[in-house]
Parts: sequence; C-alpha cells; structure tokens
Amino acid sequence: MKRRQTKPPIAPSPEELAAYADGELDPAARVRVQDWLCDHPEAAGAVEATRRLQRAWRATTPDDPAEAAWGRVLGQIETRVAAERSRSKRVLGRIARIMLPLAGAAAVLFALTLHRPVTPPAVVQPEPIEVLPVASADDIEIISMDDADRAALVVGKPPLWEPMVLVSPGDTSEIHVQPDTDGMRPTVTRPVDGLATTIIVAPLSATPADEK
Amino acid sequence: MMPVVSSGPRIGGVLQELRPARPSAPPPLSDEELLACFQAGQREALEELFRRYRLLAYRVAYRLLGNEADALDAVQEGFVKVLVHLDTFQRRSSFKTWLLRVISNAALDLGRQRGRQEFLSLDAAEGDDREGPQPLADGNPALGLERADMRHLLDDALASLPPAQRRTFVLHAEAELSYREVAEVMDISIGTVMSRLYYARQKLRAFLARRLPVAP
Repeated sequence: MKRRQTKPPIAPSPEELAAYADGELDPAARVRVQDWLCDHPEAAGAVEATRRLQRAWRATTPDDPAEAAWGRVLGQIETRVAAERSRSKRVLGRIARIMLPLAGAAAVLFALTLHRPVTPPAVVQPEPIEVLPVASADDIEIISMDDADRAALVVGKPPLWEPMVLVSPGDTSEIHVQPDTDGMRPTVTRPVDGLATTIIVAPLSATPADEK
Repeated sequence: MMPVVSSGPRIGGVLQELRPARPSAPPPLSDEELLACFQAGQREALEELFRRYRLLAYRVAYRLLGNEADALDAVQEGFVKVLVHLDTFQRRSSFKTWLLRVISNAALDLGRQRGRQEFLSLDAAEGDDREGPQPLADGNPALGLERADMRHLLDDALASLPPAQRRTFVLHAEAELSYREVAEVMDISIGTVMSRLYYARQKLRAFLARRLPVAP
C-alpha cells in the first residue's frame, strides 16, 4: 500500500537515487525515495539507467584464467614470499651481529660512567618543521567552480622537480596585503597599476631534473 | 586432493578441515584461522586463501588494467605484499577488504607503469583477437554487440575515468562491495563513495552514448 505523507517528500539527490538503485539506502531513506518516485515517475528513468549499466557490467565479466595460469601465479607468490622471509631473517641476523658487540661495549661504558660524575649534555631542541600538505590529483574532485576563481587554481603533476622552498621575510617586500575577506584568497596590490591580484604559491624553479 | 600434513595436534587438527568440503564436513576455516596457519608455516593455508580470493582479486585487477597478463601480475603483486606485511594487518577491516585495497593499488600502480591508456587504444585500433565472439548474456540486444566488444567499450570508458573514480566504481560494481566496504577499502567517507559512483556512472554513460546507438 502506498504511503502518503502530509507534506511532499524531499527530493532525493542524484547520488541518493543511485544509492536507491544499488539497494544501499537504510529503510527510512528507501521509503522516502520510493514515495518521492511515486510522485515523480519521470525520475524512474535515472534509477533504471543505473540498473541497466550494472546489468551491462555484469554481462561482460572477464573470462577466468586457465588453471595453469593460476598455478604459475601461486608458485611465484610462494617463491617471492619465501625469498622475502629469508631476506628479512638475514637482515635481522646482520643487525644482531652488529648490535650485540655494540650493546656489549655500551654496557661496559655505562658501567664505567656509573663511577664518574657526569654533566648532562645540553639538549638541543630541533626546530619544528612545518609540514606543507600537498594534495594529489586523487584527493581532489572539482565538480564545479566559478569562472572568476580560475585564476586562483594552481595545478600540476607530481612529483615536483625540486623541493618547494618557502620564502623567508628577507626575500620579499610586502606592499599591501588586503584582509582575507572570504577566508580563501589573500591578495596583494600591484605597485605598477595598483590593481589587486591573487597570491599564487609555486615552486621556485620548475626546471625538470632530467633536463639539467 | 590437497595433501594433509601432520604437524602437531592443534595444527594437524586444523588442517583436517582443509580437505574438500563434504555434506557432513565441518565449516571451512575462517580467513583469520587460515592466516594463523600460514604464519605457522602451513603451505596449504596459503593455497586455500589464494583459491578463495584469486578470482575476485583477478576481476578487480582486470577491470582496472584491461588485460589478463597485467591483471595476473597485479594479483601476484598484491598477494605478495599482503603476505609479506601480514604483521601490519591490524584486523580493523576484514582480510577481504584489506586484500582488495592492496590489489587495487597494485593494479593502478602497474597501470601507471605500463601505460594502460596506450595499451587500450592500440588494442582497440587493432581489433579484438582476445577471444571469440560471445553473445551478451544479459545485455541489451538492441545494442547488437558481442560480449567482448561490449567489454572493450566498457574498458575504454573506464580508462577515461580519473583513477579514484575508476577504483571506486570497480570495487562496487565488480567486487560487489557495499558502500561501507568501499569506504573502508579506500579510507574515504560513504558520502564520497556515493559522489564518486554517481559521477563515474555519468561519465561512463556519456562515453557509451557517444559510441552506441542505445546507451546501457
């Protein structure tokens, strides 16, 4: 029996419609989408399109490899895993051979220093290194953007050819920095024409390493 | 028939269960139990794990790479990585989702190294000689396409997607992982899974619509 609500159900997003077609909505959301579809039969096409694509996908499942191919792959896996395990053991053995005499020497030194007054060395705290987060192409999906914002978009392909170096105060002279009104882009006023322009951060050198 | 090795009362008893299942046989070992047996040095446990997940891993890798040889290489690479780094498996997710995470990463890495796009476009230009014609079992007959042709088209359409969308779609459509499992494998939110699936499908449909009289 069809459910009816006093007010019309909220229209589902396209992503929700796809999730409905996939059977991924929780019961309450499923009923809400069903109700909405009853009132909007024209949207049933979108649900059917998702299901049609899934059917076409399943109809083109790749053929299974031959049993001999599986045997070869399994053999290679066993060989490589065994080799890796034996390599790890060798490395551990080497470390143990190096570390044991060192540990013995350290124990002797420690025993000797127990009888001497020791002044603790001054502890030098390392400068904290600021981590500069760099997003990879996989991290970002640009669905839409205002054309006016294109000037602020810095794009490129990793890896960077040279380390990015942050400028120090002595490298720049600040003319004017406007308040960050939108919380997104600080701008500077250009000394030539007095126009405001967006600050863009870029690597100091873009020369590829293999071209040097 | 799988050889059964007697190696102590506990493991020996466990290995009895690795025999092919019979109606009265006890339930098969869980992934966790097989991993423990493998770590104890039992080769049969690795064979069973491999048999259990090889096809799923292969199909995911195949969809991401577009050919059998590369897909088998990715399966090998993924299994080796998982087994060598078993100590780092924190059991927060299932072995299956962990394996698929590693396999799909290995496949994308391999694709980048070997230039999947070039392979696909060359292959398409040379025609399909990978297999004989097979009718679409559940496809749209109006498309008038053989199964292999349709798969080639889907391969090409997939290759046109950004790697993150491609991986999300393949994990859901091919491995039949739920949104939650895909989110777990890719370490993203369910909302992101929904969004990526939606845009992936849009692009796939648009790609196919340009090449087919009736888009699926």
